[in-house]
Amino acid sequence: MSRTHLMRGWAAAALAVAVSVAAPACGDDGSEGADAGITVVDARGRTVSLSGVPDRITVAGRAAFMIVDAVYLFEGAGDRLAAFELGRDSQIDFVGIVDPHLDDKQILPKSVGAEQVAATDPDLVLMKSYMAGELGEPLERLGIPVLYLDLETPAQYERDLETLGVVLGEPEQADEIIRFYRERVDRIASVTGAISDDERPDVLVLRYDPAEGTAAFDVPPASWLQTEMVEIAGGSPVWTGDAGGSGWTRVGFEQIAAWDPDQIFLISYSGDPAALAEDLTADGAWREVRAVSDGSVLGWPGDLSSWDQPDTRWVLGLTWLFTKIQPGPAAGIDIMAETSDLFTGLYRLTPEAVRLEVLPLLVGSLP
Amino acid sequence: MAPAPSRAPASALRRLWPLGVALVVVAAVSLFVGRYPEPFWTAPNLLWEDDLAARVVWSHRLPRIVAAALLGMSLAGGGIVLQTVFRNPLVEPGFLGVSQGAAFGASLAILGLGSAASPLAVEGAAMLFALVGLALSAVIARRLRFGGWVLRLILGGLAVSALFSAGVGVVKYLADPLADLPVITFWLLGGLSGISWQAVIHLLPFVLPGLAVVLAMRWRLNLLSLQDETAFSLGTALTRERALVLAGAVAAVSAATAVAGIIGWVGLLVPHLARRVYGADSRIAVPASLLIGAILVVICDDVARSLLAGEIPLGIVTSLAGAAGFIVLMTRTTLRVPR
Amino acid sequence: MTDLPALSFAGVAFAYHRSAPEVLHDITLDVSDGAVTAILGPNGVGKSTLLHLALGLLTPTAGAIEVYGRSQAGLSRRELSRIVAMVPQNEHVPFDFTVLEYVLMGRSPHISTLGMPTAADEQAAVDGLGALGLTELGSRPVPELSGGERQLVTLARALTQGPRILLLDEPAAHLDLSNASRLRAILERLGREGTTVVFSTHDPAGAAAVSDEMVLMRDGRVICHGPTESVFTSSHLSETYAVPIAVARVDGHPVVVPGEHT
Repeated sequence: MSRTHLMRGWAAAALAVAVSVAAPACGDDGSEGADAGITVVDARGRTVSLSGVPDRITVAGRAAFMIVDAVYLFEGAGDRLAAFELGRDSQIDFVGIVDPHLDDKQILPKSVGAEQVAATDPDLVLMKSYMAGELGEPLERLGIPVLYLDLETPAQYERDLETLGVVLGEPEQADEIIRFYRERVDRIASVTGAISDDERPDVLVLRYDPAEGTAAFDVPPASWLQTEMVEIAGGSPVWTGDAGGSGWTRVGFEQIAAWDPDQIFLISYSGDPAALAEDLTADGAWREVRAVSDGSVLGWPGDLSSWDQPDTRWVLGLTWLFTKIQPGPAAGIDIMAETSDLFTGLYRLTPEAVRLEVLPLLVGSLP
Repeated sequence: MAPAPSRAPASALRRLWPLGVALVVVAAVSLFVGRYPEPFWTAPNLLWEDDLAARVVWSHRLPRIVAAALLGMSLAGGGIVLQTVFRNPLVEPGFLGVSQGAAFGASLAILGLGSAASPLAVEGAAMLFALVGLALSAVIARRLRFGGWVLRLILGGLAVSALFSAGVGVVKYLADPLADLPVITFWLLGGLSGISWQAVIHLLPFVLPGLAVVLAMRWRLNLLSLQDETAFSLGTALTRERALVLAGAVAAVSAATAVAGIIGWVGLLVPHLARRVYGADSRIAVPASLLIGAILVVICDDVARSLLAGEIPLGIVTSLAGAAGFIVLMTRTTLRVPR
Repeated sequence: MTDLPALSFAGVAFAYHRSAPEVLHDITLDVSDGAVTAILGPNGVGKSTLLHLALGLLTPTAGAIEVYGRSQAGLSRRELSRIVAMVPQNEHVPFDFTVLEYVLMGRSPHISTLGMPTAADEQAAVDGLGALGLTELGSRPVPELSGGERQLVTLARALTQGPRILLLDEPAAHLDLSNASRLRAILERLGREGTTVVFSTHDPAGAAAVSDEMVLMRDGRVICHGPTESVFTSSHLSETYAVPIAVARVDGHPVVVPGEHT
């Protein structure tokens, strides 16, 4: 039996040594400098205390680009970003447009590990709430301050922008940005709030990625921003009753035909949604679907980032939806002007820069 | 006075010492491997010069190394027990629905109990469904009307494993709107990125007793690998003893899976390696498997967390190492596979 | 040798499932202590089943079995395994155990569930191999042995149990003439040393050469049982195998000559 005892003893001894060494190292979570510092409650309800405005911010985890784009809304905040995890070239290209100092930043690969994040020497790490278990908690245990954000719904957007404002030392800027979004949302919601269910067209939102196959159509979950945007824009989403899921849910042609929507809005993260919408309209098999034969299939617009995602452009996506779903009440709105306004107003680009670098990259069924 | 233990265990200890030392050395070296502050090697002097480096080594790497070692022991122990009890050198926890059942049970518990899900409850649920998976594999294998026992068990196990893997997918995609569960890739490919000392401590109530039972019964395992007639004639309480050693093995594997996801190929390859080097007698092969399994998974996790800036799922690294190793081993030695 | 029979079957019947037909009917026989007993009969008559019942692996659906006067059902598995050992017809060993490791497994009835073999156990295994002249096979892997060697090694394992009753299921089935003769010599010696040996076989002549008593079976029943001289006759054998059989002696050794099947 000596083997068993030996192993048990070894395991217990190693554990005792390790825990006694590690214990003092755990537990400090950026609680220093509580008097002169910044204190804020993050999206997971944690109270995060910093000694001052962080000089080196690292953004990591899935969908980090949404946080990065949000940080760049704040003037001067870009200089505080030291490293971020970006997956697509288009995401990097956009940062290149708004930040002349992109080369000074470190771009991290996808699914970056805690040690690598620690190696970027951050004062603060930003990430989405759902990354807590994988990345956030290990970083917290290393004593590196972590702030979680949701940025998934309009309400969360306002709350998290406010949090970011406090953390970046720019609470007034945060208020301005929030006002920008709220004005545009209210402008639409105040009109569509009065529209009854009968007057709302049946709308279907589909994500289509030809690379995944010619029949790869997904609908978003009821809890996601795309669904909420359709409702605010005065439409009636047809898929929410059937598709439960917690992610994009694949649907077949028959189901689409059964829903019989008045309008179909096609999202694609690879390729021009407008071109895809045209292909669909020309496709003989799809003529069976009324929205297709009526020519009511439209490609969801985007610039370097699609306007359907909870990235900073979602308000453009909402506005565009409004002009397409409720053209009457939306008559006064010029979507191209709105687009320019966002980039000049929020990102402080010159009209020249917008004209040369952003507008040419627009995709989708615009105007 | 009790008769002195046979000389064999003493010489066994002598033969196993190099493995034990190797494990300690690998673990110690692994403390200095990582991505902070530079990729791969961390200079030891940083331990007292840089606070963060010290925290990285003691609070981040050390629990991961300990967890990896326990994970490796559990998987290898599970592998050799399953291979011996089922007289089938081609099985491992990932082939007989044990790992997948554990993942399913764990994800079900996390989702079902929500914030009330204590780690022990999750591991308990994992063990329950792991046992169900194993039992189902064996039952289906008995009823198949195709091929010899070895083939039937693998087929039954594959089917049950696929069933529970799909179950994890169902639980994740249909029932998790608030994203309480780790992503599906965690379950199916495994990883130790979220490991903390807490998680390691919660592993112990399942892993230590489980492996202790397996070690205590290691000689008995030899008997359980003989045909029923013979084992019975030798006075073995077949059902009870099989149940006991299987329960011990499954307890360890399921807890490890609940914490680290499904990690495959370790349980298949390591027992073969151990037997090849130390002989088929489980008195030595079992402790050898545990030590080799620990060394292998610690090294694989070092690679997973240090090779690239991004974390490679641990299951991918163990699959590469395990499957490649298995192919090499199998094409160079004779594998006696009973019909 | 005691007067108490080593094994005693009283009205034993057996069926594999509740609804299945009986394969053994009303078996009543005593196996004398210290005797070498051969069980003969056509294929499928239930010889193996009878041995498995004697081992305790199968439980009778009717009747009772006693081992040295004690009810078999009342004995624990461990107690039973110290008394009865079995050499099965085909022993398959799935892993490369060495012969010595394999023979050591025979000590299991004397080792607790969570226990390890002691130095005494290891010595018993070595002695067991030596007693059958198999010492040089000690470190060979069992799966690499020839059929004959494997059979003898299995016998060594069974003997290491230290049993009073040794059961063998067609022990000479895969043996060549030389090994079969070697086996017979071992069984004879065991009988002389006081071990009760019971074996089933298809070889009436070989059985007659070595056994003290014989059991003839047909259609799941014992049709004749007693000392070899009185049981080993043409008429009894012909009745057992449903084929005319002539019994003769050549150089004193018993010989059987089967006739034409009608």
